[in-house]
This record gives sequence, C-alpha cells and structure tokens, in this order.
Amino acid sequence: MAMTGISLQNVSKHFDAGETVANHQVNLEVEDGEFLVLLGPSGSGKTTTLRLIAGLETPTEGDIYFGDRRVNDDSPSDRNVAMVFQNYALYPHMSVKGNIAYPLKVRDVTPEEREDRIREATELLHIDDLLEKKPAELSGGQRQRVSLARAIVRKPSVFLLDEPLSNLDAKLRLEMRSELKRLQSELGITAVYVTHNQEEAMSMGDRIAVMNEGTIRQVAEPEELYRRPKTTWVARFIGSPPMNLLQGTRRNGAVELASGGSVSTDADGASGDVSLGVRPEDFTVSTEPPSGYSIQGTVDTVEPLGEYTIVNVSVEGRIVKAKEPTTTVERGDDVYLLFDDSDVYLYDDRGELLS
Amino acid sequence: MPMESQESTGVDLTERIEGLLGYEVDWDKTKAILVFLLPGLTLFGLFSFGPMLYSVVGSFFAFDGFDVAGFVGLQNWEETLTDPLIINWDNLLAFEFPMGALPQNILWMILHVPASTLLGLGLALLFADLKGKRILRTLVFLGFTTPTVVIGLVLLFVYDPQAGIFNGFLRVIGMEGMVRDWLSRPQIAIYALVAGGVWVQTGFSMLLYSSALASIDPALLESARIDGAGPFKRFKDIIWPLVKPVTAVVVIMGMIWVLRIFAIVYAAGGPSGGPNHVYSVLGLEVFNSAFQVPVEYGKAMVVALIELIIALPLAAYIARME
Amino acid sequence: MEEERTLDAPPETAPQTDLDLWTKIRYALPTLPRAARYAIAIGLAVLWVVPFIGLLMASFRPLSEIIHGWWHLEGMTLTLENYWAALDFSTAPMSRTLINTAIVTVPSVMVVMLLGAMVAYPFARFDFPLKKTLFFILIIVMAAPPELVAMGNYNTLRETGLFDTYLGLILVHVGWGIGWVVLFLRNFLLGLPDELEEAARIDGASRYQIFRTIVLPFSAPALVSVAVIQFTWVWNAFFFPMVFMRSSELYLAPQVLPMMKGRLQIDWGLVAAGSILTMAVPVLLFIVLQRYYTRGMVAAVAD
Repeated sequence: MAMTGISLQNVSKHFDAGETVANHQVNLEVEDGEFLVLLGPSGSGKTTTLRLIAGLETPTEGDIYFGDRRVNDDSPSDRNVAMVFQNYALYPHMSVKGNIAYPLKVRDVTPEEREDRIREATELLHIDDLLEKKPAELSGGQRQRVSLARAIVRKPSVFLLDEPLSNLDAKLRLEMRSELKRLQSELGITAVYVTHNQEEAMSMGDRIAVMNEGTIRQVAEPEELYRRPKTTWVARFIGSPPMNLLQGTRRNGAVELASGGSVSTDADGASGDVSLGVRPEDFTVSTEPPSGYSIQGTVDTVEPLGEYTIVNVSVEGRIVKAKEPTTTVERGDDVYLLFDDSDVYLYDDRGELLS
Repeated sequence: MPMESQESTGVDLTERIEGLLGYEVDWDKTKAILVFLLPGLTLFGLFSFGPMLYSVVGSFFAFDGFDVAGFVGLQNWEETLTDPLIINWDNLLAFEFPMGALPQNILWMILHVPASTLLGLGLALLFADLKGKRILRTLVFLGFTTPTVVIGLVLLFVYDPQAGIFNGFLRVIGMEGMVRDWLSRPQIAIYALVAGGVWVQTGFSMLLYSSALASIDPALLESARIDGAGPFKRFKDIIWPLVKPVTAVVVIMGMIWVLRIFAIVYAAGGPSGGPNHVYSVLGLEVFNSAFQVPVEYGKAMVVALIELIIALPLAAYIARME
Repeated sequence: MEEERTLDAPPETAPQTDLDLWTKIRYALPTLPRAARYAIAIGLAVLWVVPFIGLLMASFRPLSEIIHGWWHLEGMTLTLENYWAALDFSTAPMSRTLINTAIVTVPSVMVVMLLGAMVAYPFARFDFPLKKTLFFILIIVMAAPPELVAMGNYNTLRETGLFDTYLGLILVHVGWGIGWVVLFLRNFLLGLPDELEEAARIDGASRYQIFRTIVLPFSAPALVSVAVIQFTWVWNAFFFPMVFMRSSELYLAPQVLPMMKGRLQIDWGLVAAGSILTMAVPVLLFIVLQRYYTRGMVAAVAD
C-alpha cells in the first residue's frame, strides 16, 4: 500500500472574501504511517485544516504536499484520501453493502474484486452480518463501523477522521477508540484525526497538534505536550483540571509572587512580569508550614471525586486548584500548597514558556 | 486550425476571464453547472420567459394578424382600457353586469378568496381531531384534483333549471319562487359561479390549514387547557398565531387561482363568458382577442399583461418568503 | 423472562373492573357535543361531493330520467349507453382523446422531472452569476397566468412547424411547468446534507455521478410528488390544448367536453360520462398517491 506523508506549508484559508480567516499560516508535517491528532476547541480551525487536506476546500495561500506531490489543485478523489465524518454521512438510500461498495463502483473496480475487498473490510470491522441492512436500521456504533469500512475498503493513502466518536455514548467511545487505533496501526496508514476531546487526543495520537484561532500552537507527542506546554494557552488547554497560573514578577533570578512568597529560578537575570504555572496534581496540601516552596491560602471547597479529590484554595481572592489522592482538610482551613521547583513552568508576559 | 493553437487560445481565454473577474475559476465546476442548467433553462427561456417578454414588447406594437406590423406606443393599452369588454365604466358605476372582464375578475377575487380561506380553516378545525379525518378531507379535496373544465360543466348541471339539484333543493324547502336558470341571469350568474369556485378551492385551503394544525405541538393546547383557556381563547391565543403564516400562502394561491380562471367560465358560458360576457374574466378575453376572429394580438397581450401586473406583487411576496 | 419479573413491577394492562355492557357501550360512544361534530363533519363532507355523485348518477342513466332529477331513485334504469356514446363521440371520440391526453401528459411529466431536478441542483448547492435574477424570474412565471405565454408560443410553434402536434404541446407544457418544479425541488434539495456529497466526492464520484447516484435517489419522494402534481395539471389542462391543438384527431379529452353540450338540450348523460372518463385518471392517481400529492402540495406552496 502506498504510504504518504503530508506537508502543509504556510497554508491559510479565508472565507467570505477574506472576512473570515479560518486558518492562518498553518505549517504541519505528518509523517508516513503516523497517527496525528488535531486538537482544539470549536472554531479553532481544525476541521478546516482537515478539509484542506481532503481537498474539499482549496487553500487561499500556501501549499499542500502529499509526499513530493503538490496537491493544491487535485480533487479529493485524485488525492486518494478517505474520510470519516462526524455524522458518518452514510448514503441513506443504499444498503450497508451498497455504501461500502460505492467508492469501488465509481472507480470501476471489477465486481469480483469488489466482493473480495468488501468481505475483507467487513470482517475486519465485524459487520459482515449487516450487509443487507439500510443505515436507518443500524445503531450508532454500527453506523460508525460501516463508515470506517467504506473508508478503508479502497485502501486510501491517507485516512481523515472528523470527530468520528463524538456521536457515540461514553462506553462505545472507549471501545471504538482502541479499535480505531488498532485498525490504523494494522493498516499502517497515515491518519489525521480531529477532536476537541483531549483525553481522546492523548490516548490515540502519536503526536498532537494543538490548534487555536486558526493556527497551530504546538505539535508534540502527548507526554511532551503535557510535560512541556509551550504557551500558557496550551498549558491551560491540556490537563484536567487545567494548570494554575500565578502572577508574579521576576527579579534577580527569583520570581516574587503577587500572592506572597518567592521561587528561585535557575534562569538568567532578566526581569519582568511572568506567570508561574503549577499543575493541580503537582501541589501537596499541608496544614503545617513547610520548608520548601509553598503558597498560602484558605480552603474554599473540597470536591471528592472518588479516584481523587480536588481542593479549591482561595489565594488572595483567586482560586487555585490542587489534586490530592485523599484529604482531610475542610472548608475554612488555612493551608499551604507545596510544590517542587522542578514542577514549575515559567511563562513570560506574552505567554511563551521561558524555562 | 492546428491543435496547439486551439489549446493555447483556450488556456489564454480562461486566464483572461480569470483576470477580468479577479479570482480563480473552478472550470470543472463551472462546466458541470452549465451542463445541469442549460437544457432546462433553454426550454424555460424558449417556452416561458421568451414568450412573456414577447408579450411585454408586443403590447406596444400593432399587429397584422399574428405578425408585428409597427410600433404604436400606448395605443393598444388605450384601446384595451376603454374597451367595454375589459372595463365597462358606465355599468361599473351603476354596479350592473356586464362590467367588463377586469372588474369582474377582481370582484371574483374579492368574494372568492376570503370565503374559501375561511371555509377551509373552518373545515380543517372541524376535522382536526375526528376519526376518519383522512376520508373526510379526501371528499372535500376531490374537486381540486378534477379538471376545471369538468367543474364548469358540473356547475352548469347543478344550476340547471330542470335537472339541477340546486333548484331541486329550493323546491323541496318550499322556495319554488327562487327556481331559475342561475347561470343565465345576468345580474346573479357570476355569484353562482363564484360559489362554485369556492366549493373547489376550499379543499385546497383546508389541506394547507390541516397540515399546519397537525404540526402544532398538542402539549401547547393541553397546557392552555390546564391554564383554563376555553375553546375560543385556545384558538385565538395558540392556534391562530401558529397557522397565521399559512394564511398568507392560502390567500396568495387563491388569488393566483382566480387570476388563472379560464376553463370553468368557458365550460359554463362558452367563449363569451355567459350571455353578453356577464361573467367573462381576463383569461377568456385574452383567448377571444388572440385566437378568435377578429384577431387582435396587441389587445390580447395587454390583457395578459394586466393579469401579470396583478400577479407581480404576489410573486414579490413569494420571493420574499424564500 | 416471566420469572425474572419482580413482584412490584407494574401490570401490563390496566386492571379490569367488571363493567356491565351498557356502561361499556356508553364509554365507547363519543360524548354528545362530539357526536354532533361528527354529524356536522360528515354532513359537510358529503355535501361537498353531492355534485360529483350527481355527475356519476347522470353518467349511468338515460337523459329522460336525468331531466327530472338524478336524485329521484324510483324506477331507476342503469345503462352504459352514455359511456358508449362518449367513447364514440362524433367530433372526437373519447377513445381517441384519452389516448392523446396520455401521449401528451406522460412525456411532459418525465421530461420536466429530469430537467427540473437538473436545474434545481445547482440552485440548491452552488453559487453562480445571475442566480438571484433567474430565481426571481422563475417565481414570476410561477405566479403569471398561462395566457401570457400563449401568443409567443403560438408564433414559435407555427414557425417551427410544431403547431398542432403532440411535440409542440409537450414542449409548451415542459417550459411552463419547469418553473414550479425547480422551485419545489430546490427547496427539497436544500435539505440534502452536505456531508453526503462530500463523502461521495472523496469516494471518487464525479459531479455527474453524484447527481445520478446520490442526489436523484435522495430526491425520490419529492420526485414522486412532482410527478403526481404535474401529471394532474397537464392532464387537466384546458387552455393550452385549446390554443395549440386544432385538428380534431389530436384533440385532448378536456378540450372536447364543452363540445358535448350540444346546441339545444344539453345531453347531460353524454357530458357526465365524458367528464367521468376524463377525471377518473387524475382522481384515481390522487387517491392512490395521496400521501405524495398532499405532501407535495403543502411543500410546494408553504415552504
């Protein structure tokens, strides 16, 4: 099977004669056989990026390459991509078999080969007993499988998925998540996957491209995205609950927090306003004055969630969240939030990661 | 011409057009759009829009038979608007038939549209929650699917002095004195025909109102009932506001229907539209002017354009709804 | 399953209290005001079809009986004489005119469906120059009276030799019907999800393949509505045949009916039989495909 890397170079897409900028100067490299996730809130331009790769939209500026081939002017069918839509887009007047056969039929694949490939695809997805049904008779999960079968049956070089799991219930979503991942690695096909669900992105993606306001903020492996978010925006978008950002001023290699106390940094002697980021799970809540770094506050609320507990601490009128396995503190307690200086992220006044 | 040069001029041309327009053109898509549009729009242009324009332009020309003879300005319009067959001013002021096709057509509209609309709404409400409403509706709607020429003949039959059931009914209820040939009495014939038109069109407005009523959420009516609203209040506060938009459609379609009336009048009263044109309508006068001797093509066009002028605000309203 | 049901599960049917027969009947009957509504509703619906019942009765009875009122049932004679007379009508036999009507109607409907769908598709999906103008022209023609196009078409058909031919009348009907069909199908196609076409494009279908394999099958219910409504309109049309069909062997059925009136005494039996024969086709079609007819009617004008 032909495998293809995808490259977007300074791609912009404007709608309504430039009134709306859906994508601005997007640069993205997707490697051969990679599972890349486009993650972002709604309206961040991730679906437009996917549609540009599919050929459903043509870029206003910039170039798109499949391997060495510039595909800007190629139609979707010339690009040999397959796409799975959020609402599956099954042809309502055709049976399951008709749906899966359709891409082969319009490409004039011989009936014998068609049969073989349909059997292969439907067996892979365990839907070989549904062939004669109409889409309206299927459950959400079954429709999902049919649309996947229709996508893989013609052996595309790129597999595009637009929020394919968002219409499924929670249990099925978990199941399909691993199934999709298995399918992609078995077929070894390049996949671009759009979602707004960070858990989905973290669990499935080889790499994740975080998008906001039409442009890519960071591309990284899941672990690195979590460990080293390059901007405050990414930092607050990844992780649940989001990272705490404390305002402070940097002076002489230390950061003085607005809420009191200071943290020394190993950075150079530059000075200015900064944000200090600490993930809720990196705090330890203590009622005793600690020896290391800490900030002081009053417990506002405690949310026991079973697996862990979230302690909301009011620090100088702002809520700071801490995630604890268990806790004994109660509302109104004066507490210290301990953290290790290695868990601290420092962002400058433009929100860029400093160290 | 050698192939290359043709090719290059082709590319040149597409580039030049793109230059003129200032943006890139998706030629594949353009070609597909043309393939889809051209056959249908060609026939539409040749047999609908073209002839319409021909009538607009032709109304300012004199005709020799069916052929254009020379520009005459507003002469056709003046002659037509002073033609007693179109407007008979003396009779109109005295409100005596024949008043001419234009006032008679408008009178028909004024009587027919409110009557068929209200009756349709009434029947739709009456049938709305009865068992077997589908059969009841089918019976009332039957007339609308019947050829209008048959409707005209049926009316002739109903109003016949001897064999007609209307006069038979009058005899039964003891109104022997009212028995007459309704369609040949100049001063009442048109009302008898309008009643027939209402009979047919009521089915149509009932159908539209029924579907509007069916789309009302029953929970609304139930909650109004719990709030203590009686049937009249329920109609006024809930049903009417929800079916009001349909009324605009019913009224417009009713007006268009009356404007197009031809076969009913022809079947009941021949090409003259009753004795001495007493219930003639505009459509009939177009037919008489254009296709009966003596041929007056210019006049036919003017009369047809008068119909169009009446229809234009209706078209504008439909366009605004879209 | 039965054993698994717990004791406090609700019973499957409401508890049956023993009611005596009369109480049961009283419950089953509508209340008095409701019964009155039924009576009024049925009365009105029947009143609405009385003229057609009269037409049907007259078509089966000799003139001598009709003259004295078809509603007098004593000594009724049933006969098919009127039908034979209508089918053999000397000016233009119905046996011929009905076939002529079908010859004109069927192609007029088929062509308008196909071409109308083709025009409606770009109107629903793409932007192109003059789209708004064309759209407004279509609406104007929908509201305009057919007389407006009669003169121009008369000259066109005479010049092309299509006057007084089936083809000429078919073309006029197609040109005239395409306006409303386009507007109607466009409204329907606006409901076709974008994703279906996009999926088909990605699957490799050309725009023509998409039209044939996705758009047309998707429009099937709307196309049936178009077919039924356009069929009744073309079949029932009176004005166009009157203008464009002049040879008696080409007469269409509706066109001939007024001629059956005769000069002095109207032969009601003959007129009634001819009318019944002419209206039977559209009325039966309406009754069989009522769902599509009414849905189409409502959608065509209410959307």
